[in-house]
Amino acid sequence: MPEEAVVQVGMAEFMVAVPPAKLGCFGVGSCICIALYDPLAKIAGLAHVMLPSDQTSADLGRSVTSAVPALIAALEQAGAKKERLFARLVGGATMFTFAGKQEGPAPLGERNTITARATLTELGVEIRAEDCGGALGRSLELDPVDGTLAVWSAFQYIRWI
Amino acid sequence: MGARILLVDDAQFMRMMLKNILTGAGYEICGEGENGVQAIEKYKELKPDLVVMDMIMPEMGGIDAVRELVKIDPNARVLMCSAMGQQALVVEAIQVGAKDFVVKPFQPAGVLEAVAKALQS
Amino acid sequence: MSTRELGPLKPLEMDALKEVGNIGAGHAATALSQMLGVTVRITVPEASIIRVQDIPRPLGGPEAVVAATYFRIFGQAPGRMLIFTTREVLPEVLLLLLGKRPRPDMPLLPEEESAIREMGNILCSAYLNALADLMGMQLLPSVPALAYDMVGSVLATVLAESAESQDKALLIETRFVEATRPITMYLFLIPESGALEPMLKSLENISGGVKKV
Repeated sequence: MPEEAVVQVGMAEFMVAVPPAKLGCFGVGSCICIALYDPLAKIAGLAHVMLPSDQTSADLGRSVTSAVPALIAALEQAGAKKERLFARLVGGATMFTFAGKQEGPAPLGERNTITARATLTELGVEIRAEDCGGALGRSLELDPVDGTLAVWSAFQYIRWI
Repeated sequence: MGARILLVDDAQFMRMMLKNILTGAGYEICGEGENGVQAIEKYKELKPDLVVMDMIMPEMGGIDAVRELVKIDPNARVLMCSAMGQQALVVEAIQVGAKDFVVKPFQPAGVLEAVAKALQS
Repeated sequence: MSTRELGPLKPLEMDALKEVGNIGAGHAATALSQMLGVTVRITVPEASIIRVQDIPRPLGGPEAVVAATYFRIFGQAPGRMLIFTTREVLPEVLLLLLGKRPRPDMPLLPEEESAIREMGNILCSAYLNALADLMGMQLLPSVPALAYDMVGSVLATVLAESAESQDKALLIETRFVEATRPITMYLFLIPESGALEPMLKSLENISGGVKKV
């Protein structure tokens, strides 16, 4: 995979890119990756988020509820218009399942996905596609030229969403 | 005819290993279970001479299962077979009614010796 | 006091935690040697405190495929343990465990999954047994959970789980190597931040009885 040709968005980071740069996340598990794109301005943003919400950390990129507004603000600053943005979600897997009765909260990946949907809906950003959940590690690459979002896994072919 | 043994371990791999060792020595594996709940059900149904029981299992662990088995049959013979060799756990298993304790990984000779001893008790 | 705060630890404390890793892994290596029927050695453990988002980058990048077993640890020093081996090494390991090689590039068979789970279980238990005896406490692992997937996805998920309660994590890493075969296994112990105080205290009690030269 052309990992070296793209800017890697690490855990708890969010970035904005214009062509010819591309953005990518590699080896995503329970984290949720939120890809935003303005097709007219050809500006893309990608957040690689660990947690649904986090009141105590000053690190905006760690949680969905703080990272999504911050990413939108960064996109607007780069010239994107919020009303033109649409979202795609990748990740939110449950990599490990323990046998037997499950107690406590739902798996982190599921909570990340649910919170991402709710936060985007609340902010009026349409979610056009998802490749989320399951026990599946994922990698993804977002190209601001046309908004192409490629997703692949260890044992699955590449797919475009 | 060898003694009848019930194997309880959540790992299929471990049941397979134990089965090979025990049937090779002439014992009969009368049943298998994957957790403590199944151990109790199968014990009632099969009335084995000995239960070889793992400790950390889903649904119900080995120590709770021994406690229940001894309530059902005070003469139940259970041999614990677990990777958890911590002193306090071994003591607890014996206190609730297990006859002996084999720590994984084991040598076949060690298992056979412990099984023979537990069957004599 | 917030449990989110972790470190900085004094050099002596880091040293004590490395020794914990050494003793735990030493026992685990013995157990693994017996199970596989080969001689397994360990590397010097590495202990480091990282931000939970700065996942370690072992092996061939985040997309390298590994077979990983994951355990939650309960007791006075709770935490997590992750054990994995790479896809390249897996055939050798399964050959030793099951007496036959897996079919190339196929999902794992149930008996292969079971063997990997049980190997992880025995490694984790032996490690914890040694720690529990050393520190005079009881430590219980969960049943093993298994993933056969990208190493980045596996490590990120384990660290994200600990991120729910802390910003930084202590990682104690050991590798198991076999002299004549290309077998390497990676073990990460990630104590919860609340586990450090009881761990260090119990270690202090032990070393307090020994005269420093």
